[in-house]
Amino acid sequence: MFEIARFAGTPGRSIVVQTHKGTGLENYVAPEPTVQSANLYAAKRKQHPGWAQRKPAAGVYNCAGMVWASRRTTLPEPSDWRRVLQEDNYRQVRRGELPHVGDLVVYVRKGYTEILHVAVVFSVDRFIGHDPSGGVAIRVLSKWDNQSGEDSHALDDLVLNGGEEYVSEIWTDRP
Amino acid sequence: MASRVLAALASDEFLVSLGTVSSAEALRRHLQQSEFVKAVGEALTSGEVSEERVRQFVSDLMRSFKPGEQFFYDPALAALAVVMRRRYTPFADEFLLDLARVGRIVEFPFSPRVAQLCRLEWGARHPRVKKKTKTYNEAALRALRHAKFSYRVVLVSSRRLKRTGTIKREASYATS
Repeated sequence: MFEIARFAGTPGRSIVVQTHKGTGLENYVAPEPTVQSANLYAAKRKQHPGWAQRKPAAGVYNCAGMVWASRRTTLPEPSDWRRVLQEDNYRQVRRGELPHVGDLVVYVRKGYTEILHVAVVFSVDRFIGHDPSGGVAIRVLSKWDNQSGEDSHALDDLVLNGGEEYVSEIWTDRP
Repeated sequence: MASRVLAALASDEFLVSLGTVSSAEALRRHLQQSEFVKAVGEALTSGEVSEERVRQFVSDLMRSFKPGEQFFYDPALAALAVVMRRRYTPFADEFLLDLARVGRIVEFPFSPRVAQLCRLEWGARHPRVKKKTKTYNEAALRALRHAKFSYRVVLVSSRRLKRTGTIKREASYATS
């Protein structure tokens, strides 16, 4: 039934990507999006009017590839994303600590440790007159997948895996 | 109705509803709860959609496969794999095996792995392993030992069979 895919499919080019400790990370360079994929991305964007596009539909990299591989490749394994957080000396932002631009937002499946998505803190706006432990509006930059574009959006303005429940954590490489 | 439930898997509505997909495992979890997938399963069970119709649907989708481009209907194939995991028919077996065998290619980012996971579940509920043994009596064993045949026999004694042994014929043939 899928002989054409078995024999004509391509394994994809990969590059050397490692954690700080030298652990190799599985990766592949994704193809450029087709017109259909670009149209699908446009249809998803229409459902989120609060998204601000930074880059149109592009291939090559996914969310983790944008965050950890400088947009050079796709890092397809969520277990590898967890490994990067551990081996690249990231820490979770403390309670009451303000996130900074460049910190990471890690969306984790609720009740589990499985990472569903990673994004970069794009802007942090504090509401004037509010208690410093709250009243912060964070916008993050996401690459949705390796056929979509990049958009900045509010922290919870996204749909993961058809609406799976998640918890957002903020991680930083700052000391 | 029959072709509508299948066509829904290839629709923008279904694909947009997935949102951002993080992994094959996550996609499979979502598809197990998806109304689109449940509708296909029910249609197959009731007979409104035949397996031959599913085969034709897949064949139609695969016409748009292009090496080097991500296959647009990869989520539809993943959805069908999730449907097939609860169907204990030769077609379901064939579908899951064929899709899982595609392996890791850039054109199919998720569906082969979804099929692999579904096939594991399928196999756990519907074991396919069959053990075949042949038993020979003493006279036959003696005759085989003295035979001028050019193949090698390995005699393995079995605890269950006291007098006779179980002979395993090896695939290799000795040359004279």
